[in-house]
Amino acid sequence: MEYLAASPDHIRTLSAPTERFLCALKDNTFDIKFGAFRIRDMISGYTLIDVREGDLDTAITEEMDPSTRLLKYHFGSQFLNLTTIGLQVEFKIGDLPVPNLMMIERHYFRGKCIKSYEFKFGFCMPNTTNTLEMIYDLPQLSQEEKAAMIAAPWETKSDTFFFVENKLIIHNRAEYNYADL
Amino acid sequence: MGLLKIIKKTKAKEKELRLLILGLDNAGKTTILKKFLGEDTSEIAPTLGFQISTLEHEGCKLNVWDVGGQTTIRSYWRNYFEQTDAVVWVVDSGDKLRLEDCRNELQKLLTQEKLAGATLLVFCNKQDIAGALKPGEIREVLELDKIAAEGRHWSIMACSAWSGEGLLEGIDWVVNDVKSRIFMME
Repeated sequence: MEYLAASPDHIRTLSAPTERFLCALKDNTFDIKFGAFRIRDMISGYTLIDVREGDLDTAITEEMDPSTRLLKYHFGSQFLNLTTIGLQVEFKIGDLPVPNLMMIERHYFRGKCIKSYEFKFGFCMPNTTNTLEMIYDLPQLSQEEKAAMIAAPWETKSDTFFFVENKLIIHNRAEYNYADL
Repeated sequence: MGLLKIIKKTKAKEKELRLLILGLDNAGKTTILKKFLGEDTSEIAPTLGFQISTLEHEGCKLNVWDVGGQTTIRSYWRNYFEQTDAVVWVVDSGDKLRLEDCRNELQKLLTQEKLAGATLLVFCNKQDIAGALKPGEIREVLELDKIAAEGRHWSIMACSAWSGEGLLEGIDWVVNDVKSRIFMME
């Protein structure tokens, strides 16, 4: 399978989710491994999702059907009423220092980018376990938009890209379902 | 949670504030950050890397970097100095044996060119422990009066990450000081 060379500038212009992975698993030359993640409501303090490293199926390979690599989150309709959340991810760095790590995450619903987030990690130390918690206000959606998202499970999608020195090394794709749990 | 209130103060023309929390290992850097962010602090493992918290709330941005204090990690600290607005230097006020080590590391940090304009808060943590040194004593041992002579914006305050006492006041001071500096430059 051929991969297009995707730059941060190219990613920033996208108005719809990708339809396939823009890089291969083997492009993760720095052996960066994402593990545990957690989502909490910053207003009530409640933890909504807490996935530990041991709970994850990390045995993904290039031979697998790409659709099984798609992450799926069923959040339920209440999630759309939250205002401020904290999303924490944990990641491990391999034996090599990472010179300049950057992340771009974009969320879409029906041809519209509803949230775009960028973060420059910069240098990452070799053989370390690091965390990033992003605390942010969720996009303000109209009642109509919320209803449309609830009625269209898995049509809200996101792409998460990690670049080292502007070269794409990791691409994660996810779909969301806001129908009642 | 006090944090969301404080971050509103950072609203300074979309300027992103960058805080760096440093200090020797076991000083309580991560506990301070977690307590401040309303997280459980009952089990804190040594940070073998960094823990970043980014806050974007009502148009304000604050990035807090907590980098591990183990000797092996200290050699990497310099990678995180760029564009730092303030350094929060955390001291274990009960660890008298390592105060000299603490002073040397801090003095070394303050000679770094990239941190020349950064505000400094020395946080005298673990004030809840019996026999903990008071800020006045720590000020002397760490030779902080040298810093005052150099014209840096700095302060020394007592806190307890365990009880949460002093944390809000400290971070509030840091954010206000950085804001006042930015304001003066404009």
